[in-house]
Amino acid sequence: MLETTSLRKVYKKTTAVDDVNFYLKQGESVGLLGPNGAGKSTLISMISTLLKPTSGTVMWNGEDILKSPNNIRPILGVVPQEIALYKELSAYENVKFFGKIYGIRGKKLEARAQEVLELVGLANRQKEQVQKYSGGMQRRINIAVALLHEPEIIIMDEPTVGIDPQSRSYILDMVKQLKEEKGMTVLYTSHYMEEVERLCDRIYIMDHGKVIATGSKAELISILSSEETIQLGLDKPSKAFQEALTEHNDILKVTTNEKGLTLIISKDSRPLTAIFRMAEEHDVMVNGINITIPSLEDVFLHLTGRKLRD
Amino acid sequence: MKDIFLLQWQRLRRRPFMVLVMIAMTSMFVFFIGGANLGDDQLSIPVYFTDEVSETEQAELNEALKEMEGVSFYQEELEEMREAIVLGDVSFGLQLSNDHYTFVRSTENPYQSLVDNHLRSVYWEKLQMDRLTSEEEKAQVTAALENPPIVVDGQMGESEQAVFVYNNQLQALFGMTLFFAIYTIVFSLGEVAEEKQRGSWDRLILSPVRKWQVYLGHLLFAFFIGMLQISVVFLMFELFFDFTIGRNWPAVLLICACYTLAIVALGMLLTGLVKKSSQLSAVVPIISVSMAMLGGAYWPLEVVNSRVLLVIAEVIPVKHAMEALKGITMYGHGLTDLTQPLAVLLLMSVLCMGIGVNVMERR
Repeated sequence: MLETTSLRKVYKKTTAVDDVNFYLKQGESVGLLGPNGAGKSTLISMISTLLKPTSGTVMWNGEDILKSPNNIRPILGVVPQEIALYKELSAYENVKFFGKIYGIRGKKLEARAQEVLELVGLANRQKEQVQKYSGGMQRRINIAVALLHEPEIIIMDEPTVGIDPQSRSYILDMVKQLKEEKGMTVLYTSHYMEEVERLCDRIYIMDHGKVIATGSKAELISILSSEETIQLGLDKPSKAFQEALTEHNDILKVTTNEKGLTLIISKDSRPLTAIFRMAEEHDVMVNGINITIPSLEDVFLHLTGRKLRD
Repeated sequence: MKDIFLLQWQRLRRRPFMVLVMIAMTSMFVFFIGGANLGDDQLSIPVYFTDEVSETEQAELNEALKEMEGVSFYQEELEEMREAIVLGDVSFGLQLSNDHYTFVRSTENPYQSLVDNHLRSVYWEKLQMDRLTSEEEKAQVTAALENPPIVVDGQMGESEQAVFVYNNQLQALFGMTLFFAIYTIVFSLGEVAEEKQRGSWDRLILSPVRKWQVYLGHLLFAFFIGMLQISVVFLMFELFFDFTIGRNWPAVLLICACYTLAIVALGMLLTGLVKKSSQLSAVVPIISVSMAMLGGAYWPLEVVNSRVLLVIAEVIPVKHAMEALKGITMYGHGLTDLTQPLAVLLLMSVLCMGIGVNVMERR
């Protein structure tokens, strides 16, 4: 088991990771969810021994990896957020080079290279230079390189940033396959809620360097079990109407969105009549209403008062 | 380490543009600056005889002038000589009369004093002979001069270096080659900064390859690509453009190796100091041009009078490499004479490398 205790990283005046306790069991898939700047990348850099923490410990099977990082490195496959490849070389040459530095040679290297290229669906275009690939294809090779030495744990730092929906879907299916068929342990960071919901057994929600909630998807959503979300579509924004809603006893939280307002209400309350009356009083026309069961997005909104991609 | 070293060559094969441009630029500059006297490195000086000099005396003076080695004199009309000097085609000319001579010049030239010395002895002898009235006396003096009773053999010992030998071709070849090699070497090392930005550095660190091996792979590549560029340019000019580097190629290569090492170390320091590879692109031209100016790559340091600039030059690798290369090729120095400049270059390498790696690791 990989475990961190009171992990902290401070850069001059900024605390990037603040007192994080985290664990990852063998074979499970854990998601780190949080907006940009939440501290996810810093946390995984410390877990993967690339960055020394200011304080705290990272243990792997009871051994402090900060003291002996070389013990855990061979079993880690890290997919960085950047395209960490040599773009003037072909996909095959990249895969082969990274295989060689892991000491894989000869026929084994050739077989592994073909295997990972097949896995990411680029075996037929392996001789092309990486710089000629689309963003999605480059991301797939970025993952292939991390899988070459058959790591036990794969750490993926936002592997789907800035790519087309098809490539994204391909990558998500691939990660699912790695976990389910190969039994790989996965640590997946993202600020896309649906990716984490789809892939991960457990989720850590981070904000401002802290873990603000943790648990399975169901456990996290149960935080809002006593609440419901109402999406209110309005013809025009009205500050006075928003303030009136905030003051209503049954409405717990009011936030704005592109189309209107998002209200979090107590599950047993019936504030709809009051909402329509207030809209009429403030000369606002309600052109849409949607009552939803809470999602992880709502949990994040509830915990931080912000949307994930704010 | 071997894989990282070989990877850089593989990448160079795909992107050879920078190295080829640097070799082309070096060749172009050497050709235009040093190639003006291609195949003839003699200094040519125009001479004008005043009307009072008879044809016989002109012939005698011409004979005496021919005795000076490394300089050729040719007869020219006064107006044309002045025009050539004004246009900068020649540095100076001579106006010769029966009992005196005049330099016509626009700028100072280190060769002027050498020519002056030669003319002084020619005219001293000529005036002595002119004073003699009888043919018998003249014959006696001529015989005595041909068979002197005392021979004074002057030898220069330690002060030999004080004699300034200027070879425009080799000055340009060494200066430009060392100057452009800075770009190739430092930009090759800039790859370390790019790797860190791109994230591939982290991949290497997480692999079983040790960090020192990663550094060594990059450093060795930068060293060999620098040496390759310098050697190719030297060989090209020696074989195809009649530049005379001499026979002591092992010593020349040894100097280049020490210089390349010093620049690799300096490159490491610069790479450690900048935050992004783009900053390195901005810093390298400033550093390399300053080093070339101060270190005597553009012009010989012998013409620099400022004590401050000469003191600063002591910490510039270009200065020590130029000094050693010129020592071997122009002054006929041996390996023992290279000890000091090579030791300074090695010391610079150790210091810059130590600081550079430290700074880089702290980042």
